[in-house]
Amino acid sequence: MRSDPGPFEATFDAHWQAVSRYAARRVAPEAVQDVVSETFLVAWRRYDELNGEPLPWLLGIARRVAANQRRAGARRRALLERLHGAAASERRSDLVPGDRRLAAAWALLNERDREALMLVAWDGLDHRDAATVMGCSTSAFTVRVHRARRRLARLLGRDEKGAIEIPARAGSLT
Amino acid sequence: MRPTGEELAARLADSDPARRLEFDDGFRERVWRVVAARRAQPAGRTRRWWRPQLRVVTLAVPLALVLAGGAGAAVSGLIRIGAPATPFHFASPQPLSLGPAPVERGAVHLLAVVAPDPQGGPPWGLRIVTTTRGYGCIEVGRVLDGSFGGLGEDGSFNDDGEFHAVPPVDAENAAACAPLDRSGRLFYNVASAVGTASGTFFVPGGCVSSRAFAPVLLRMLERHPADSDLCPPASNRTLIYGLLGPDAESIAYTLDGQRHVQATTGPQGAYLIVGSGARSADPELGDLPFAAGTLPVDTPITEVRYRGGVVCRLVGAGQNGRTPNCLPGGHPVGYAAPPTTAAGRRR
Repeated sequence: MRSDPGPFEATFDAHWQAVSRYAARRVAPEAVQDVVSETFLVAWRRYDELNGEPLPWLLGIARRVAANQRRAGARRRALLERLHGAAASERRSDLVPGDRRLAAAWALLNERDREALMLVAWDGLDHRDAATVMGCSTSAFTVRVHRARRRLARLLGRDEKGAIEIPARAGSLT
Repeated sequence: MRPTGEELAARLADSDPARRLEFDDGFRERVWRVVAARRAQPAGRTRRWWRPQLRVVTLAVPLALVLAGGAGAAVSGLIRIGAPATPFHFASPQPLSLGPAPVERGAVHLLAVVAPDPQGGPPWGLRIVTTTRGYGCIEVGRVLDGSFGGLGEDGSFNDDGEFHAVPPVDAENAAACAPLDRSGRLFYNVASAVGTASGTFFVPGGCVSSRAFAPVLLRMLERHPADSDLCPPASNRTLIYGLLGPDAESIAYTLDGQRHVQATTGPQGAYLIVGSGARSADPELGDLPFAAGTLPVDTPITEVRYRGGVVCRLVGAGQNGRTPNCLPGGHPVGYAAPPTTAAGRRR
């Protein structure tokens, strides 16, 4: 039985901060507002499809909007490079400076591993909600995050033995 | 030594870039204003349309078949009608032609001519706008349900897959324009450009072809770097269109080695050719010539037939377009545009 999600504005008020933080972790600072606005606009259009907890559903939308924004950003950088004949600077969210070893290991993870870890460690979702965001089953997400955590731990372990060359600047988050 | 799970979680939490981030009420208000404004616009209508769902299949359709109406072979799908595009004014202090000129009230006309897109979806069409400065401009874009606009694909409109009506703004910069003659007629027998499949040109959020519009892009990027985007090369479209006047009956053209004949449409004698990819002798510029002359020269068009059996054969580049025996005797060539008001003209 479908539960009534209530008025859209109430959903917006309850979750805009969480969606904003989600976006801030994944796109450049100047793109956060656009991503959040677009996320809620898509959410409004599809509000009658909401069936369950709003936050994982909203973050699932935000994930796709952010991915589009990153793709558009990549094309824009390529365009600027072509037009100006030089590499345009790439503005991406970074890990908080300080843990260079973690940053170096983080940079070696693939996108899916990073997303799985971010959803749990930063967005504070349980496996069921995180699975909704990623569009997979809970058990598949559990396996994914377990493997991601193991890979990150392995990379950190190798790093502490000196097997990873740590770049001068911390690795990027996204 | 590998960190334990708890150590790892703690280190990750400490590295969260948004951990201490606060979004104030001002941010909330800005976001809500955008959402509320776009919610207030008409949106959400859904209609059925022929649209390919397997792009690779339609790519395999020969262009000749597509131009002959093969888009009907595409798989049925849905296209939602999204919010109209935000009106966009060129911000460059040195615009392309004479600077922005307001579009005259009521002087926007969607023509009957349509051409299928090589990959299916809503067809392409032409729109004529007249400006208060006494110019007539032809715009080319996608048409759905009587609306002229662009599609949310290839980066446009966040790839939302919806159709967005595009308002005619600053038409003299964004389209093929020519001064109307003293009788208000627009002579524009050929315009050609490399466009993009989305059909969006100079629309915020819409992608554009840098090949065709590099100079404009540069100007736009100075003021609106976040509003323009380069479309992938595969979405390039060669667009050739024009108005041959009420006496024209048909054109013949050769594309990809195939000869095609297209009947002109309406009293404007409008025609529109849409091909995939960028067809130009100059790959950097990307544009075929624009010409407001009498005949469509230097294009794939090889022949124009006029009423009364007059045939103009255009063989080879460099035709001057003024060959007397090509013109239908006694009839003016060109589209009679809606009259502009005398007060509105500032020529």
